[in-house]
Amino acid sequence: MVWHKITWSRRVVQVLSFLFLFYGATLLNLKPQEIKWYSLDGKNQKMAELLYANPTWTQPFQTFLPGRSCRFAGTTGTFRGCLMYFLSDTLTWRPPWKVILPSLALLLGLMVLLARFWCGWLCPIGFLSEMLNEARRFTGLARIKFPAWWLATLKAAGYALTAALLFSAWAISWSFVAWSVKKPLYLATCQICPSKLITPLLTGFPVMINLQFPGASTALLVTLFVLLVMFTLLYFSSAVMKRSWCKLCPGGVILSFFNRGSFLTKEKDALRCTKCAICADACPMETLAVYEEKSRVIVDHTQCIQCYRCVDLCPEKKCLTVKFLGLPIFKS
Amino acid sequence: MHTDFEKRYARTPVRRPSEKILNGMRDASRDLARRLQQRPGRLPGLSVFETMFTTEQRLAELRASDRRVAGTYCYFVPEELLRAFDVTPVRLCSGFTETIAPSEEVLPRDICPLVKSSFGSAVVGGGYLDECDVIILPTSCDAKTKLGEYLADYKPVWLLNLPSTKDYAIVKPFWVQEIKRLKTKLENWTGRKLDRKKLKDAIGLFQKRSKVYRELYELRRAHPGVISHQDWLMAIQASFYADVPTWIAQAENLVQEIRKAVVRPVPDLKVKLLLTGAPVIWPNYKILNIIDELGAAVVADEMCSGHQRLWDYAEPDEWTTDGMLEALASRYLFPATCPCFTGTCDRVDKLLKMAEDFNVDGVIYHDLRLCQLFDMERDLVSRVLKERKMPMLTLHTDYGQEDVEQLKTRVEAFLEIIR
Ligand code: SF4
Ligand code: SF4
Ligand code: SF4
Ligand code: SF4
Repeated sequence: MVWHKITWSRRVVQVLSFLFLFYGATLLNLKPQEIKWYSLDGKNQKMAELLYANPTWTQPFQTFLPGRSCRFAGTTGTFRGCLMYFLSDTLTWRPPWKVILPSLALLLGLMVLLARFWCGWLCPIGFLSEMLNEARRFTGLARIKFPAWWLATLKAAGYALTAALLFSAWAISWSFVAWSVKKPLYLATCQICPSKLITPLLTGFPVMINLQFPGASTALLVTLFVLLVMFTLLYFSSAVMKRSWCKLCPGGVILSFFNRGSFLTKEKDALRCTKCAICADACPMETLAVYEEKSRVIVDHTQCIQCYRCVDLCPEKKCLTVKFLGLPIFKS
Repeated sequence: MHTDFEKRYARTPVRRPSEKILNGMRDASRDLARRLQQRPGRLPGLSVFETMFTTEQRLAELRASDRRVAGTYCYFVPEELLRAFDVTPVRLCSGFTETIAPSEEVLPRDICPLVKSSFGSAVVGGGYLDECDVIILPTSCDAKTKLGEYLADYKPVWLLNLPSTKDYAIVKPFWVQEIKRLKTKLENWTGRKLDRKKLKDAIGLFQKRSKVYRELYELRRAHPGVISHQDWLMAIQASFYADVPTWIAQAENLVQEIRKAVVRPVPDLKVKLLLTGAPVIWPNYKILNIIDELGAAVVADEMCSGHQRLWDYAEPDEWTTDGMLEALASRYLFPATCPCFTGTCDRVDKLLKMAEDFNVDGVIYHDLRLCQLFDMERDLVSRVLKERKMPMLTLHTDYGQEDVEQLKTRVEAFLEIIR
């Protein structure tokens, strides 16, 4: 009850993952040109002016990860960008299958393998939001509890936002859409992502925010900027409200579809459960699913970031178990 | 000082100090202690717990100490919080039959013996209740709720408004407020702000207590015959009054003794029973005694005066003052299987788990006469157990000795079926 193994292992993994994703190129001295994850087909004339046809080779690994391996980690970062970046860009340019297939396969594989384990253990942005919360805990200030309606709102907004971002990425590829709309909405996912501000803050990569651009709709640019500010505030509020941004994050929403049916499962022995609600108090996503489940064995649910804080704090031996492909890896 | 009860219409508190009754209570405790001591092979480490009942040492300690004392009832009073304010909690739920008659001068006859007996000690005086500076009473059942108004004639009484469901989303915020209200009252009363460090230490201490208890539980599970259930309950109920670190040290000692004792094989028990239902409280171990005498043994219980009291602990997600209060709120509500809540299922789960843990042959359902709640929960419990082919016997009784023979016959018949 005193030594929380899982939480500590998680912190170690989070720190390592954060360092690798954001500073890996520098720390491990990886050179962009030298390592080729897969080579891109640069011969497609139709896409000649586009990113996919003209790889810039800025990162050691020219691919994407399910967590926020943000492209704004820039020259110190190890990966090309995050899942949302890949999806948006792919929908916009629709490069030939053979070009995107390696990345797509890798992403799908990693998502089926670990689902939102990426959020709980590997995503640097999620990790930093937890660190903000730790800082507040250290000061002894009280945390703010989300009322149920606000949680529901964030969840719904997350779905809506994800749909809107993916749709806009697709829509701007249509030829009849005006440039004034296309330009601002290009990579809208990054325009509104708190990581666009937070990651450069840490890695020193220069970012620009233009509220005016030749030929582009200022109204749209400003709207996106307002969203960016709102989401960044939401992100920083995770100091007082656990994982506030993650309750809405589009990347998390996509991963959440893989939570049920991934290789990782969380199981509950309902008879061992004393209904003590410790798991409900502990959950950073403030979900009640694990606590409230009293008959089914599998307690995976979409909102779960697989942090296993519930498993760690559950006072009943073997009540909660995490399994990877049926093999127990963590037990309460 | 503020109380939760108005005094616009007052009642003069009835006081009937009686050496005779106090002596009767002392005798009852001593008789029971003597009976427990006679059990062959009884572990010597148990006798320290028993002194809590057979001597007035602790009472004298409380009298001499300048720490404030708060009387509590039931499962729901966060003792860690009291400790953080240097207030000593004592649980006043009483098992003495001697105080029932004096209580009936004020209370109606047709309410549960536990409430009457507990109230009787206010009428007679001379016990732990007299030493309390305040009484903290959760509104669990109807009788306990109204008991507050009667007790308020004698002592300041603070109510804890207990919700009647355990639905987390609905009642957690409310119950946290209630715990915080208690905190504020304690702050006003003691003139001190709640100290984060002290609360942390208190929660840590109670976690330790729980850990020792869980160790005992595991040992008993492996060797049910190593300790009788009367002794088991007695040791748990010593914690109603005991200084927590002292109790922990004594329990740790008991763990060592059991470890040594089980090196040699412990004689196997012939019939193992699980006890559930209304609280069995010192010295009313009547039904346990009957079962023991008939050669069967209770090996585990699920009562608020037994297992439930020490099993659960608070586990804050964060050790901020607020986080700790949240954790205390959960600890003192959700794991309870008290029948004052709307659902019975949690209790059934716990029973099934314990029956499995101890591989019991049957379940004894202790129904305290005039407690509708336990009475009404029995139906579902008995149906589920029946489905699982687990025999169950209901003992409908009170604190008196009149029905001992009759109970004996019923237990005997039940044991026949099991064997
Ligand atoms: S800004 Fe956000 S969406 Fe864009 S690459 Fe970084 S993490 Fe992904
Ligand atoms: S929800 Fe988004 S920001 Fe949070 S951990 Fe998951 S991917 Fe990262
Ligand atoms: S349900 Fe458990 S594993 Fe999932 S987010 Fe909540 S605490 Fe973490
Ligand atoms: S922490 Fe464990 S025992 Fe407590 S309610 Fe959750 S699953 Fe049940």
